[in-house]
Amino acid sequence: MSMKKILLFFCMIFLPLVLAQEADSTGTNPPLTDSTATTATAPDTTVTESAEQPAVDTPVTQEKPQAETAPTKVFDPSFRDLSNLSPKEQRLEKIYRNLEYNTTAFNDLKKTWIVTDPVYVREIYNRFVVKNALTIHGVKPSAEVLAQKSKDIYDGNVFVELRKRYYDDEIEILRFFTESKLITKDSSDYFFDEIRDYVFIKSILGDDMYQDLKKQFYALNDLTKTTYDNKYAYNYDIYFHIFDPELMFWNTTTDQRNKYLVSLIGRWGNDYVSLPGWYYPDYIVGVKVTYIDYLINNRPNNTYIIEMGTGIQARQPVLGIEADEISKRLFHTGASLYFKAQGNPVKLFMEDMLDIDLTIEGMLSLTQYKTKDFNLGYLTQFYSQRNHFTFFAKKKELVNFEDIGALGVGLGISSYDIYHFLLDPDQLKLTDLETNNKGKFKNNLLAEVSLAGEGGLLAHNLTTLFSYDYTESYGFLGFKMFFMLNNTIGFDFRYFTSYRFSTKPLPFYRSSSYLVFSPVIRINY
Amino acid sequence: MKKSKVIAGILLTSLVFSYCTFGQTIVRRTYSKIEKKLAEDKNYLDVYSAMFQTSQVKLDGLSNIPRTNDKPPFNFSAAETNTYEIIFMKENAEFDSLVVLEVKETVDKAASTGDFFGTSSSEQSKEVNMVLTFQDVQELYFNHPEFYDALYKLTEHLIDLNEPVKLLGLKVDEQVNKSRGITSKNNQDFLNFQLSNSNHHYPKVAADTQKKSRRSRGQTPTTTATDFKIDASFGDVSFFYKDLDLGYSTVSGEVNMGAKVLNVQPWQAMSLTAGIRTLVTLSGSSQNLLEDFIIDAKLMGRTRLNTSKLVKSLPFVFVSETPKLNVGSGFILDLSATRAYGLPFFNFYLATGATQSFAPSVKYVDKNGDLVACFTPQQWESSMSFYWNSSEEMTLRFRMDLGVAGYSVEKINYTTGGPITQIYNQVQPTVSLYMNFAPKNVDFFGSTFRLFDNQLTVKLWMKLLEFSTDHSFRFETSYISAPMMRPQREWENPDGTSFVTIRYRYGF
Repeated sequence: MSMKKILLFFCMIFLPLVLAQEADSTGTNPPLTDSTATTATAPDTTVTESAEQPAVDTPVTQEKPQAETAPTKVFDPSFRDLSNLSPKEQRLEKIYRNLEYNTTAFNDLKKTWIVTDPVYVREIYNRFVVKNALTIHGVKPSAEVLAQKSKDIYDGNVFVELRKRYYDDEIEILRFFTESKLITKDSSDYFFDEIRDYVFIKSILGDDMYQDLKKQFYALNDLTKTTYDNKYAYNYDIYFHIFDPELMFWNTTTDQRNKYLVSLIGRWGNDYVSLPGWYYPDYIVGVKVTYIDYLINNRPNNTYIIEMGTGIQARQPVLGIEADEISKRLFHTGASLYFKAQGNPVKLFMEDMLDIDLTIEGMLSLTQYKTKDFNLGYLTQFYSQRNHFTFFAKKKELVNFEDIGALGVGLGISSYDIYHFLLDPDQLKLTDLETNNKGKFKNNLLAEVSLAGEGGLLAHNLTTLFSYDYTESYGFLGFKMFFMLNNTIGFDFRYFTSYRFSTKPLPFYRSSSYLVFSPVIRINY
Repeated sequence: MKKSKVIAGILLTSLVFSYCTFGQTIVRRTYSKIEKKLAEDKNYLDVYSAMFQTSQVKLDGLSNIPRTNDKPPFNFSAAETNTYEIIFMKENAEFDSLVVLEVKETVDKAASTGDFFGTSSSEQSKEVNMVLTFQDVQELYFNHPEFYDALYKLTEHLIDLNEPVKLLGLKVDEQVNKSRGITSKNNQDFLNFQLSNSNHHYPKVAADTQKKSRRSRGQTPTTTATDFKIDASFGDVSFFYKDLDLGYSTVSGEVNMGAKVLNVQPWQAMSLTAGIRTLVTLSGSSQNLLEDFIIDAKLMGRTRLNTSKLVKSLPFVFVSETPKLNVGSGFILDLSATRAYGLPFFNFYLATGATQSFAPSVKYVDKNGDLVACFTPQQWESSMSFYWNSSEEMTLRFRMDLGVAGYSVEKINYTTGGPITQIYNQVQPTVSLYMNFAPKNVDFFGSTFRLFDNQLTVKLWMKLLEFSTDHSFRFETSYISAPMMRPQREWENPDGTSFVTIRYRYGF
């Protein structure tokens, strides 16, 4: 009886070792972990290493490998737990993975791709099967497990992910993974351990196949990350936009990291009086001064803007998409002064004040053209918009929806005048056909909702602007869409459509809808 | 009972044996992988070497060093022809001290043969042997730490004596990447552009990249190798002689048949412009072209030249009609200045002349049937230049000029005999985009796109030949489009015009 117990005891110990030996005898390569993963989780090991060198004791007895915290296997189950290795194996593994020049900082920038050619995947897979180089958690898979995994290969669900080294063209990681065809979420399963080190990968694949794999002459998906940066730079900023061009050409920085920027600007259109883009008779040219209260590299902290300019006659392009005839446009009839101020003035004194931007914008006509300035020899009449004023308050970030953007809301009022002139070539001056000055001014209530997102590759701004002219009982609903890719190229689209609460028709100088658009190009260094 | 003990003993022995065999197999394979890695991936390994001869150091504790794989113990040779190299890995994320990897021995056979003539030894006469492999060294660490410790201390001593040699083959300093293009904060971009595109002498600055120019304290211009510099094409000629280099200023001359601002080709402008150009640097005690305020100024005179009949027969100018716009005589001021007080690079051009007394080269019959002539007495342009490069290597170089320009046109009606009347005088925006392709700082290709007065001008040049570094030939072509999105004016050509030339540059 005792003999049986002894035999049973040794069988329980002996058998697992035999199985483990079988795994090792086929030459499996224990997969390596990222040095950073190990570093982050094994600070004690490095402390132990430094105590080894003076050779006070034998390294085997002195080396006290600490139990390393295993990397999170949920994301990458191929990482091997070094605490299962002997001290000797641990040291050798660490030397092996620290021989190469460390390029951990560039891991996400290294060329990465996935081989999707199912026949080529089989070729690669077979090389590893023949050389017995595949492991699962450091252990060679049995024949049954291998056969089961091979079924995924037959179904064409297995792909090979490869990553090249940063400074040269060699493949540093190769790993097999499978994905479900019906993907509702990421179903990647790295069902074999990843294989590292190009020398080892080349020895398994053979030189010819390895070189062929590097050339990428097969079906693949390129996963290499594209780097981009869209942070604003302050050397100069060339912003091409038909309606809002800007050229920032000078800047200075004060002691408290405040910045002053000076820009030349152009402004064509006024959304707050529902005359967007080229439907506005004046093209404003002027100067803009921007004050940034304490510069943070990611974005300006608080920005205050002052703009001054003058209007010049603008020629309205005819694109054939206008809702109404060209005769309903407005005309430029004199020199004017444009001004705009924007910012949160209260925040200058009270830091905790709500982050609301106030905008005061207006244009005052200073002169009126004479009849001869129009160079017309016949009697005619036309409309002109000469003065306007807007007050608007906007909270840009009412609610933050992370990647979608920030919801902003704004309220305001605007007022503009409309002159009805008669041009008689025999008269010196234009004749104002509306003698009642009060009737000239139209007052609008404004409400705006916007969804804006910046940062990342794509910046966007989707705005709905509601305006209601309570003097004329009609209004406009404006939809504005702005997109910018990599802070370099974009598109701006604005559409305004009218609505009425009475049977009174729209004024003659108004179109039922306005559609304007502009490409956007930015060069910012 | 005895039998059971024997069986238990056998099982226990088997257990221990298989465990040891299993562990040794893993270790052996790891040794093999690492040694293969050390042999085949030298370029990418972050390892160092320290070299010594036995006469230079004390080898305490380093005799009869045991080795693996039945190799005999190793002893360092005292021969003068033998040099030893210890390969080691410095401390890193997982090791707080250096790790000795291998030891190599180099035997200089040429010296050992006692060559009478003392011929210097070549690589073929040197024999390199791996005397202590990676496995040997690590087995010392584990099993004979006193030897490893002696090797370790020797390595540290060698590091104290001399900086170890880095065996990493990567030139990581040359492969520093940035995600965005760059623009220089000084005159580097301006000078690069002028050296490629200007037809006048510009002193070369020995600064290839932004990185190098930041490190240098001052950039003095390199001396010119030739006495003359000549730039000649079918439309213009410029020349410079070394004696006109006054140190703080250079003077060169130019003759050209074109007219800036106006959308006309050379010879089509019906004028001849000649004058001098001076490059002035305003610097402190020492000249530093990268930081100095530089003014490039041309003072030219222009006279009318009737090329109206010639222009249609010249093989390198392609115009569909006889030119109608006479360019008036006068003087020209063309200025370019580098950044002052943080402002951008600035350009100003002014051509002005008499507006009353004028004898046109070309008259034509207008749509009313009257014999008329149009001429332009004044042209001007004011712009700011902005430079940027696609990368630090400055392979693709860009410049954008943004500004305003204008010209006036006056008309004389010879049929009615009325006074000269101004029929056109508008200020319009102008945009120019320049792109140069200069791989490894060698100018190869350039292009210009200019939009002004609803006409697009495209200029392209490409280097054709260059020999003896002084002579170069470029092929250039220029195309000016017909007016776009506006009606054609009476003095304008209804179709696009082209100009083709070969440009010879000597001494540039």
